[in-house]
Amino acid sequence: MSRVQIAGVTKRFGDVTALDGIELDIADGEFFCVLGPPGAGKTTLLRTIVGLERPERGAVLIGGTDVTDLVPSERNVSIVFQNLALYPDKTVYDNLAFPLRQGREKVASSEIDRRVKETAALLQIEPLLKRRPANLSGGERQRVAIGRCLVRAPRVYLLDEPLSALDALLRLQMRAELKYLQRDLGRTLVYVTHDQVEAMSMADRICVLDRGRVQQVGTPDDVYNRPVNTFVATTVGMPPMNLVPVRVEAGNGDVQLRSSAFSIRAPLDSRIEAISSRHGEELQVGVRPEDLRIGAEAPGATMRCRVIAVEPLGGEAIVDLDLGGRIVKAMTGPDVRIEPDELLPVAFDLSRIHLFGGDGRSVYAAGGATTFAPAA
Amino acid sequence: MAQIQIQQVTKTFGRFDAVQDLDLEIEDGTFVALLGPSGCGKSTTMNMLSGLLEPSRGQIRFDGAVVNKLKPGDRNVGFVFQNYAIFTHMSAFDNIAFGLRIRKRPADEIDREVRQVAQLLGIEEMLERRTTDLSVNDLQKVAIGRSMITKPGIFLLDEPFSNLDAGFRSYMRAELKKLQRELSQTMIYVTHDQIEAMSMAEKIAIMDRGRLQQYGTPDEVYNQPSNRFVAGFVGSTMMNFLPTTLDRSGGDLVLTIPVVDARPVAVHPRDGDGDSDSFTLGIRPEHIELVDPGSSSASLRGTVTLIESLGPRNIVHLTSDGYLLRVTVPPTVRPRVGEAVGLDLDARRVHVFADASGKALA
Repeated sequence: MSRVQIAGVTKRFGDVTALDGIELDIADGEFFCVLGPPGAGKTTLLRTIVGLERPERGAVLIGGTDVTDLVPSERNVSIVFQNLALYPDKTVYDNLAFPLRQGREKVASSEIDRRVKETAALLQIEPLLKRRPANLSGGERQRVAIGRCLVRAPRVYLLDEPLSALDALLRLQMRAELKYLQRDLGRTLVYVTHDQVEAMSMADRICVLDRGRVQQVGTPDDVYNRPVNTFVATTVGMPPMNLVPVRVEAGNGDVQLRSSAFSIRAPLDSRIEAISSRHGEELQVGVRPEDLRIGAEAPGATMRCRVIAVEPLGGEAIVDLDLGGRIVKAMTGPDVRIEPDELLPVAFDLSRIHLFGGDGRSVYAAGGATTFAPAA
Repeated sequence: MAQIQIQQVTKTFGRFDAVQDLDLEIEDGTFVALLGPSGCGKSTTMNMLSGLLEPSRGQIRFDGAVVNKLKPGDRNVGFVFQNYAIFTHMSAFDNIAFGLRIRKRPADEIDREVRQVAQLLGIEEMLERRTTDLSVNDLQKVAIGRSMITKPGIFLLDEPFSNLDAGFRSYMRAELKKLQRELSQTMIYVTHDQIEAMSMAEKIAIMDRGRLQQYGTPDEVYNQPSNRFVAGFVGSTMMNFLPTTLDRSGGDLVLTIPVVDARPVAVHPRDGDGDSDSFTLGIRPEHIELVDPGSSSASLRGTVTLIESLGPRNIVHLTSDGYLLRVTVPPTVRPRVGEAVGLDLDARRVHVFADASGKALA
């Protein structure tokens, strides 16, 4: 069993608190992504699990056993670093065999040979075994680094931004490959990334981390559709969710959200009650680019916005709009002809809007009930 | 302002041709992206435009005049690099003013120009700050401002956003596009990221292994890729490729995919490289619809192997008789892994490539 539990872990470097009371429970066999910007504490978290950092407070449990005081080699976990760290003077074969030759227990050379070849077959790098890293492409080197992590059959795999050095196209292919691989192996995998697409596409669950604190843990659907705060809302999804400040005006059983550029009537459902008590308060309305309706998709819209730029992406297009002096982004189909400086009707899809309080926390999500972040 | 002509340019390093017989005409005031994977020759091309490298053969002309041997400083070219070169001991103002000061412009003119550039970039409030107090995002804006202020005829940007976080990158894409329109300057942007190229550029030059593969608008390279490389490189979810046989005997071109249970797909007749022995069918993930496996509109059948949820859409991975395929669907469509589905290929959006040359049948 390789459940990983992080129990109240705090790690400081001088005055900087890199991890601040982290609580995580990662299930056996789960593909778990840790997502956050540079400096969020992602790598420190990974190094704490592997045993390269010792937390000031809290404990790390693997398979139910407290490993906080164990050195890395006693934890039976494998890590792939961002910069791959292959031995340039060794062949692919020897790079793969290295963890087995260096391990605590002596592994017979016939067993080493079997496991190296098995791993190479899994990653489709058998024809490369005699080559040195300098003679491999970026993607091939990446596979060797992952192979070196797999060869030992550890309890937990830890990967630190393993795809960030690769070209966009290769990254795309490796994403699905990694997902298949993890499913075939059936082992726990903790994957650290700043790229929300990687986290969304691969993870069973995502932990969004910022400044050493867990912001939200949930499935890709949870964090995308029910973000608990503006940080999660703008970290997950590309382009990020649009946020526009509004003032609540409640009265006569009606709730209006008013900004300098527009006024919208909040959807009347049972949960809007909570909003009507916030009369006069400043909130932020959040709407994802695909939930902003423009042009012919927004019949009867009262709002008009000037087009700043159109960004075609092939399968879709992003339209940058001026909404009361603020840039908002709308996503639309590829075949719409829109020109800069055009005035377009714009409407919010009210069945998809979010509202966030002054502290950034979600107070309303039209797409579903909101779960709240742990108290700060 | 400048028009650029690259004529039959080759750059050789030892026995390696980094760029081969490149022909490219860039109109005055156009925003062009040089796009391709690492090692495709895009940075070498950029370095020949800037004057850091001299072509081994061929000519580069700015507004008609050959510039092959001109030094970078004599070309009236501005640069922004991935690793923004900023003077950290100077304020943002002094960094932006630098190019005008070394040209000995009067102080009041410098002040006016710096403020105008800062306003365009939205960094007016940061001008007096030391660069060590600025965020990475603002530093990149200062770097752009410093290059802009001398009003170079050609603006060269080499992956300037690759160190920025994703949200800011998406914001800067729109900003840079707006800026280029306002300045109507010739801008050349090098990137390996097709999203950046597609979203910002008026025209994209796609390179692979030192050779130009296609030069066209985002719409052209996406919807009419000239060869299989371009088709596979452009698009945020890769185009699907399947082997196919061609039957030209009737009025339509009939494609048959050698897969169990496949129904032939009829497309409009196309001309092109008919000499190839074998062909490949290409179709983008958004041009396949998932239907009931028993449906008469199903050209293929497959089994779901993986679902990637990306938020606004899901990518469904499937196998069909051993071939891997990807289909993009709305987020509400979530077939189960292992489920059998039918695939309806939109015949109007099918591409055909000759295997020998890779070229598309137009």
